[in-house]
Amino acid sequence: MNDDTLIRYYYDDPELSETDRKALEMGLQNDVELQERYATLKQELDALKSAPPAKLSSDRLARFHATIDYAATIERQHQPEPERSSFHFLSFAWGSAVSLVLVAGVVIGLLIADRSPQPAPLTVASVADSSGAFNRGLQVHLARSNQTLAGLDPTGAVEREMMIRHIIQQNRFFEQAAESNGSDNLARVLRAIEPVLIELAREDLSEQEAAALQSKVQFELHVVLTKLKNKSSQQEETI
Amino acid sequence: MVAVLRGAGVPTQDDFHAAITARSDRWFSACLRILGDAAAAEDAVQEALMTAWNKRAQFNRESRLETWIHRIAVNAALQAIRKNKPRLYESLDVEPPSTDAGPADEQYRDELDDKLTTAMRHLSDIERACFVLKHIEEWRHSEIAEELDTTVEVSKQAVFRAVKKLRGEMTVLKDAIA
Repeated sequence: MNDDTLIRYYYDDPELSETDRKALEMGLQNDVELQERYATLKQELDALKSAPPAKLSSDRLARFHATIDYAATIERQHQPEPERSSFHFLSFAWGSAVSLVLVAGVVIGLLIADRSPQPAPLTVASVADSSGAFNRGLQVHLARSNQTLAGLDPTGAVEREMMIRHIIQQNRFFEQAAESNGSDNLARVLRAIEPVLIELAREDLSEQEAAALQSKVQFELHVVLTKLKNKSSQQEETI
Repeated sequence: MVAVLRGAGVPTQDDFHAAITARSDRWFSACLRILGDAAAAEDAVQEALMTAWNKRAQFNRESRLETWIHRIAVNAALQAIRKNKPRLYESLDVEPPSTDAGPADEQYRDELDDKLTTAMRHLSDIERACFVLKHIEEWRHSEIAEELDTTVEVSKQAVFRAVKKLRGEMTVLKDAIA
């Protein structure tokens, strides 16, 4: 009696022939060795089935909660919003325009590198060049975002929300550009920052909560920025 | 703890938060075991939450919200696998990739140290997916085959191979049994 038959029997596989099933059941009644083999198999597989779920870090749990807040926020954004002050609007529009130009430049750079008329394959240098432009643009975005966050008034909920939404929009531009560039890990890192930013944009945060989240986002931005700078200096690979 | 929906109508933001508190570890576990990668599993759960939120009007109140999201999360993980389809179908006959975690994963090492997940690192993508769906999620082979766009026979063979490899990890399994 081979293991495949025992496994089929364990899973009550309908393709196990009646002959094999009867032979196995007969063996399980009379054959001590077969009994032991099946008991071991069953014990091991049952144990796997009842294995506890993987531990979930508090950060990850917080991001899951933030995802729902983010989804709800996005939904609310589709509803008409009260008019913002002209200062905020201009600041938002200016930042968006700069981001668009920046990302467009990076994307065009990538396209040029990708569609070079040269028949030769894409060189390491050209990839490094386009990746370098992207990295520099992203570094500017991260550094400015960090400065903006550092200068936020924790008591000014409305202004904080507006400025963070601005950062989020820029972040999305770079996330999309990273995806287009095949930089999945970087896109994922940028995407992971967004729920925390959304959380920070909530108007009902206490001053202490806002300060704690602000520090967290600044730390994450700083980590990504440092890694990018290190990569840029090494010029070894695309991100 | 089980999230209970309050009153009639579509699930609220609070209902979702309650479901996340109660069951997101299980959604994450299922995705982690299917995908074998913590970051990808997190992406799948987040995608499932977004999908569930956007489709919450379609939620059937005869089932539990967390069960509904669990199924969506598993489907999101399978969708991620389908995106890597070439690798998936090569993998029946090749060794699984290196299990060295990248820097981004190191902080989640404790989660990956879950015994079952650890043992599953020795499985290929399709073996892991088919085993989890069959053994943990208790799907039928026909359902697995349909979702993974493969055949019932491939699903069965993948489960057989997974079981044999996992049984080979005797130390891990003995620890799990103890």
